[in-house]
Amino acid sequence: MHELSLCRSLLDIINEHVAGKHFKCIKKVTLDVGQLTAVDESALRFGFEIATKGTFAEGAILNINTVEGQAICNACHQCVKLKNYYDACQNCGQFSLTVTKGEELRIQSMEVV
Amino acid sequence: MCGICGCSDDSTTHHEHQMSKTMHQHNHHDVIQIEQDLLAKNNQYAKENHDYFLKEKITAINLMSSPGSGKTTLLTQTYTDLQQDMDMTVIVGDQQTDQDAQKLQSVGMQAVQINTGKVCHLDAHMVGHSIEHLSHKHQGILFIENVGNLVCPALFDLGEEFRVVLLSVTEGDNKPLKYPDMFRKADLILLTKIDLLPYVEFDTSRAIEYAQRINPSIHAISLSATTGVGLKEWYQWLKNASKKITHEH
Repeated sequence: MHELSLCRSLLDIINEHVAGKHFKCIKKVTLDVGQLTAVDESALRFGFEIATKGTFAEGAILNINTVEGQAICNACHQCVKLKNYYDACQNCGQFSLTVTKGEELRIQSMEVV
Repeated sequence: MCGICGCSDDSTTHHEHQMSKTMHQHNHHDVIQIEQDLLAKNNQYAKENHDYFLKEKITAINLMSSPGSGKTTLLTQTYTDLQQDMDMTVIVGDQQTDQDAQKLQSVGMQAVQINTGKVCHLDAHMVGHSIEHLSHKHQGILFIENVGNLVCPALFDLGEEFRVVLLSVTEGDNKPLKYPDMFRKADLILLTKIDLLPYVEFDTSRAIEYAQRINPSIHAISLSATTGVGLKEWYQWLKNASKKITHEH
């Protein structure tokens, strides 16, 4: 349940950005979450609900943009989609891939009132 | 959605509605661009730990595995065999109890226990604080025995130079495929308890092949802390790792 720890970090980042400013509440938080990251979306939503309870981010919409996995094959040098780390290159079938996308875990923006 | 007129509540622009009797106004919404990694704070602490380790020429090794793969047993054996050759200390993470630290201390090793309580992994901040309790503050090997868990610890950089994952033969040889994050950034996979191979269905070459699918550069050693098979190779790996830190930095 590392998602709860991630949500606490998320709340810390939010707090840093609103400190000293006069906002009533947070309406929406947008995250980029890579498909290959070991983060479960429903656990993240649950963690967000728990972590924000009693804070001014309580009730905020959590908007999650899923970023598809992508890699460059070290054998055929093609850029290929990668759904799981254990998948072979879709082009040549080799397993030696360098991941270029899909490992994101980033807070992109938030909407405040 | 706005309860009065049904317009979209998450609009980013200030707007007004003219209604028959009353006029209501939506609050002004501001979008703040953040573009920050969720793990930024942990990574900042990890960097501080890493800088400290390099400055003091400490070889920090993050040991991770499922519970019960033999991390503590391997460490007590390693300390017993190598204590004349190198300084070794350990930070050990568990949700509860200091039994692992006691076991490690019983062979003479300096061990600091971190109890994570409800948390399922060590993070760089916890490790940073526990370093303060270590008396050996220069050179040598610092093992960071993570909480037994094959999922969560993978995400949290502790500032270590090396990541070692243990996989015991009583688990499944397909674990690297089932829990790829753990193996993806590891430098070394240790297949432990190989003295039990005659009694379990575990194909060591298949396990290594799967781990290398996830991480082509991962190195593998098969060993048993009970019989001593493979320990020599593990000790050599440790000495090389330590040399890399003391000579290169």
